[in-house]
Amino acid sequence: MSELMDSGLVQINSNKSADGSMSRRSFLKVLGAASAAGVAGCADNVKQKVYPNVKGQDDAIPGTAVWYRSTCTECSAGCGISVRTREGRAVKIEGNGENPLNRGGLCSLGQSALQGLYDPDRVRQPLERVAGESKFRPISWEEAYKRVATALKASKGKVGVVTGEHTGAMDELLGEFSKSFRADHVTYDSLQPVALAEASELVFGTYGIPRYRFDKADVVLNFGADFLETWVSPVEFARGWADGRRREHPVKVFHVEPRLSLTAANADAWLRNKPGSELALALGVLKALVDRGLGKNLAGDVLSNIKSMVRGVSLAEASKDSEVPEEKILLVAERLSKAKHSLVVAGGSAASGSSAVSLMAVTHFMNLILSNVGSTVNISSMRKPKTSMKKVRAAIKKMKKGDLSLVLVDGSNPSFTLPKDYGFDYAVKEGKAKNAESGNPYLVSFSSLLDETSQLADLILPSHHSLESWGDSRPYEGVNTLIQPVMTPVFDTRAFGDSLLTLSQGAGSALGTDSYEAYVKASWQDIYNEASAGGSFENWWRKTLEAGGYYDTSKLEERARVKVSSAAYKISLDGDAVSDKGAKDGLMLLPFPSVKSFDGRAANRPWLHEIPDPVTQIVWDSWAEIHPDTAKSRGIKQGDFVVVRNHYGEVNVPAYVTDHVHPGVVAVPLGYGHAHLGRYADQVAHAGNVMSLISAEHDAGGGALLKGALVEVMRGRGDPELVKVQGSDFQGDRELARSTYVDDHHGDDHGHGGHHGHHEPKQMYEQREHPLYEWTLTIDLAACTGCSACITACYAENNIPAAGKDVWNEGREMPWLRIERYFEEGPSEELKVNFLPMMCQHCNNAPCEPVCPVFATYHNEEGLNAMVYNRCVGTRYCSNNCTYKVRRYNWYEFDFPEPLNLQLNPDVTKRSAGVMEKCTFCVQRINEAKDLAKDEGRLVRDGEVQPACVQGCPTQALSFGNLNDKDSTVSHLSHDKRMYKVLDHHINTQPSVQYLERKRYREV
Amino acid sequence: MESAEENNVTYKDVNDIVLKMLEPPTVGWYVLLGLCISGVAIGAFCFSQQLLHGMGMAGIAHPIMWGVYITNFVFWVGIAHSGTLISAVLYLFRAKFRMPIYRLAEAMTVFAVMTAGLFPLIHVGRPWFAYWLMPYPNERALWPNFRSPLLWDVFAVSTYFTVSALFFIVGLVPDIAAARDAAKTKFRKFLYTITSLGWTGGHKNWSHYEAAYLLFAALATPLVVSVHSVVSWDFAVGNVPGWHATIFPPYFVAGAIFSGVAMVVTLIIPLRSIFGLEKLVTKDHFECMSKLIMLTSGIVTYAYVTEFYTAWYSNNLFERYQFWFRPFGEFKAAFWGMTFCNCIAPLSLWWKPLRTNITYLFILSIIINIGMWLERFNIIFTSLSREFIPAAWGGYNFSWVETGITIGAFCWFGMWMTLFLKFFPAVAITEIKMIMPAPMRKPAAGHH
Repeated sequence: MSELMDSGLVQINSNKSADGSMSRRSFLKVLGAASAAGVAGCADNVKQKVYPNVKGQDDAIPGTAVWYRSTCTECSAGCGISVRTREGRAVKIEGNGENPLNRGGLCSLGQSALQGLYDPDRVRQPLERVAGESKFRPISWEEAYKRVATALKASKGKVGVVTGEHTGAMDELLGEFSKSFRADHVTYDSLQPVALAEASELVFGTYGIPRYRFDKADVVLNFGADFLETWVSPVEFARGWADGRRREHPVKVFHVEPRLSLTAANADAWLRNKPGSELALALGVLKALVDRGLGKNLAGDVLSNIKSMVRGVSLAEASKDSEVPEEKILLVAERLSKAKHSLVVAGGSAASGSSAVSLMAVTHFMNLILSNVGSTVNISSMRKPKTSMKKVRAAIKKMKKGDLSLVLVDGSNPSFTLPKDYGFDYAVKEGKAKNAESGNPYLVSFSSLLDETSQLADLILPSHHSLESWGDSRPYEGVNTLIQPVMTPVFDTRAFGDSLLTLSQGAGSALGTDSYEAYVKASWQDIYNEASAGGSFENWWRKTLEAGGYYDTSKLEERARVKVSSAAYKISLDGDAVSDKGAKDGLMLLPFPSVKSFDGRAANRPWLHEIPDPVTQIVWDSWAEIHPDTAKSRGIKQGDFVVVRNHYGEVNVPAYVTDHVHPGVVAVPLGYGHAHLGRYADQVAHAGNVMSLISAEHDAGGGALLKGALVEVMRGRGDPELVKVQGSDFQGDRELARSTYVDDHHGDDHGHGGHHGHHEPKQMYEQREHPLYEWTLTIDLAACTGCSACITACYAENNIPAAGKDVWNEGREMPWLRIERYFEEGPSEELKVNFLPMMCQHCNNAPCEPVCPVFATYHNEEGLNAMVYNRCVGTRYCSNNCTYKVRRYNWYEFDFPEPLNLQLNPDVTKRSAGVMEKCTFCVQRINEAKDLAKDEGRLVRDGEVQPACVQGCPTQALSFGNLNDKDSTVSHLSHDKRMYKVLDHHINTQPSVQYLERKRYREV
Repeated sequence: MESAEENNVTYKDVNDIVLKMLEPPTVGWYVLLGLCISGVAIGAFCFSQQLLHGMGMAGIAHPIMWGVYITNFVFWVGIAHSGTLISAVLYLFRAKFRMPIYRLAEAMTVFAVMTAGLFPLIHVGRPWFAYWLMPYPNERALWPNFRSPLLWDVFAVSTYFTVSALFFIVGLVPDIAAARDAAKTKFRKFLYTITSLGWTGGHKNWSHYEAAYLLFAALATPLVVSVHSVVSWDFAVGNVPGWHATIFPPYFVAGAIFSGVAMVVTLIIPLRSIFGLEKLVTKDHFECMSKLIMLTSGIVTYAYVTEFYTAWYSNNLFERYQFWFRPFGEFKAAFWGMTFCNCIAPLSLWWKPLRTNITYLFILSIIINIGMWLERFNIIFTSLSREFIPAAWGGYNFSWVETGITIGAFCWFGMWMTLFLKFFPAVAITEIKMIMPAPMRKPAAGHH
């Protein structure tokens, strides 16, 4: 810890009281002084001075959490985070409310970074390959640095550097490093929407991803972009979407995709199109818009050029190609044109075929015609992805030829995330063979995981986790965030930045400084100057660290002039090219990232595997979505193993037969089938890596091709045990997840149909009293996307064990919070998907309470249904009697392999086998807030307590507070006409969880 | 009524026949006892696995938190019932056909309660804390929750065990004395001297004995009704669709007697032929028991129908679904199996030749035992699998641990039964003599 202090970390809100009057620490000081005076008074006249031997550090008060702000580096979105540390170790990651992008929420992936930090399979010290073998042996850092530096010195001009996406100081450092060693720096992140950035360059004249404002739009047309899941900046977009949904007339989303993604499930209309027809459909809509006479705002030549571009387009053809009815295309065009603000986006794997750039350009044209540029499409401050397949290809070519003699890899796992067709593994082999005589290491990995690429490496110099490092992130102009180490490193690792600086020095080309922290600081001098904050840099730096970054939101709102280059009109209007190697007449393979698997970078984190996929409700394993007709013709039944294969390889996955996918598609999630990564990834490894089936044949040089390969699908052998969590997909007449139709009530978004609103049933018995607090949770289903970030937050906060696939398969899952998903069937455009987060309802008439023979569960005076683990005998009667089935039983003694146990929250008991557990409304947080309030002689304020799920929700769909406080948010919401309580009118449980009905349009 | 008194049996014959059962065991007995003890050992091993690795070793899982163990518990408590019914209730009603079978029925009661009592301990997650269900004074003034039906269970079952054990032991005393007088080995002499509690056969002895027996019979009678009513409240008090019904107490009591009588039949038929008790336990006795089976089967069937009617009439969404699901859902086999075993098969007894056909009765009694086990399984398992929240619907598979423990429980019961047969008179010598003609007389051609 003393190292931490010296390194200049700044902690925030450690002991500060909310109004700043007297902190706990100063209170203790006063107390100490007073008692010392007392002692002096009654002691003998001999003056004494005692000096207790105080062990420990000033900022490590046992039992008191210290928070540090930093930036999430799990994807390139750059969300701000606040990290809670206890006794010098990070125990929880939450979104930083001050960050203008995520505004407090954080996705599951970001929250799971803790399990990356404490990954039991992390590389714990530098490793060197045992010559000729696939084993590694530990070496010292000095030795490792010496060997790489020697190689670096010898390889000037022949160095390759492969990294993930970086902005800010690391980008600068990599630039300098590449310059001084004349290195080829290649960035590769398989999910970067590079095609979109390229289309922006074509149409708007600037390379980059515009900032889309879902909150401002009234109507959105989306071609496959999973903006609520993984696309570009999902937390930011989800929040924007939710803000739009909260309006009187919620933002209306038309979603075009061959499969039902989570984003499609949340759309008002899901248009299931034929894969590869996205461009044709987009042109159809563009044509319809032009036909409606839109685009008068545009400069004359732009409109006439667009007009001539779509002259040959026929709506009937577009409809035929895409299998989307013509009237739907016209409807979309009508809704778009009538909306005050609209938005057209495209992205995701469905829009990542060879025609991606054209598709993105057409969406840009639509946004131009609809006057969205400057309102919902901000092109003045753009994200600039650095991934380039052209560069990747060039580098691989060089490696094969032996033109590179040293390759450094960090933050990217090309061996896994790059389609096999690109030949990265082969290039490494060739490169190694051609450079064998030098005796120097060829491939050096800085990864702290033994992933596929590290397995190929000669040397592994494990990097710090981002929670152990300095750094920064500048996703948009105006959003500059800092990364600071929140704890001493878990293992003997070094920060990648420091390693680069040390290596440069060792190779004789020092880059000015030898500490990356100093490098970041130096890089921030510019921002300091720009901020013109006054005062010393050090003061400003400290303040910036406390805030997590420097934000100049005015930059995000600037308007920009649009210059459409003439090349933009010459885009190819051909649909996606298809690779049918090894699979003639096959199905189109659609690999997709999901909130739990992403591209596989976090596959060794059990929390993510424990989240059921929100739409399919499949947990732990991979799956292949197949249409029932397709399945039938191939003799495939639900849960059968299927072999998906083509020229490039094959994967074996269990079939999930669903009509929520186009019959011509087989959709398989990305990120499973790691050959190497760790014990948890191994559990889902048998599937095989679906990325290996992708063809590079039609690579147009933009982002990675995810779509465009045909595959054969046939029944495989074996018993894969598809673990689907949900008992039934339908709620029947039970009205658990309810909707209100906003267009039924003119101008009134609060439904008042027969069953709407909450009516307190007449009670026969005296009601419970809650003198001070009545804790209540409200869940706005209109804003809930089902993304499951709340579940991850709950795992992290409440020490919920990762049960593992087998235990889930037994039906013995442990999460205290689940998201139920119910379908209301109909044709795909009218399919309704309901998400219902379900946790302990803390009923006032709790059925679980009277049946417990030992009072292990009881009602407390704050309305909580309390659970005394120590008293529980384990009769499990409470669970039988629980109407909502939210109680979880410790069927086994679950363990947390070291060092995952370091993440355990010290404020929450770890439960032992034989004991019942359930959601507590994060009672530890309530107690903390009550303690503070008591010290200050007041009641807990509204918003002061946020259970983990409430805090973590990217869309702020949850709110928590005291129902006794008439001004609290939950009190206000309790009068909302959309408010209802699940099953209360049936069995009078009087839950403390209030739901607000989902908003829907009867007429889309 | 054809009975022992009309069977040309003398007092001596009774003593001889019954005490012959206590003669040194045959190889067959040792084999049977060995099998039973091995079964118990298997059960104990399975239980140890559960203690070591957690309840996960059993098959139960969300949402079915009670499974085979509670099914077994209710099943064995039910079995215990008819013993008390035959020994106490029929005693009070002076139903003479009970005489030759009541001892066995009572032994069955005691051993069945001993078996049933194991299951709550096997079932709870932390059996080492099971004593917390007892109201005992403690320094933290922690009491159990008197509102919980599980606590009522603790009282009901422990009371039932105490009373039926006392009743059983009291009834045994004069017979043990007879065995003592006839004992040939030192060990047996010692055992019976102790357990006959100094019985001399004197006037006072008999007078006290009769009074005590009547008292325990009177005490035990309400327990027949109360114990299984309380057990039914474990379910009826819960809000699970399929459980929450007011018909449960009478339905459970009738079901218990039904299964208990069937179990008595299952046990007594082999004993009768092995030990040559044909003279004491006659076909008439079986016919009486058959009639009892017919009656209770009728009540049980009525209860089943009422459940469906109530579900329909209540117009309760969840109840209606539950009662649609039972006959037509995923686990319909259990429902139809139960209906066949408990409602349809016993109808055959309306035909008299079957009521007196010993082989048929033996088969039928086993069918009924299976049916009643399925009934409990249906109530517990099927109801829990389809509750209020469709997302949480589910099922479960038995694990080998549950199977092992269930087998162990049957063997545990069998072990006590086997030991009992060789150590204590399994047929009531005294009571059979009570209904026989006076001593030294020639068998009467007819009395009454």
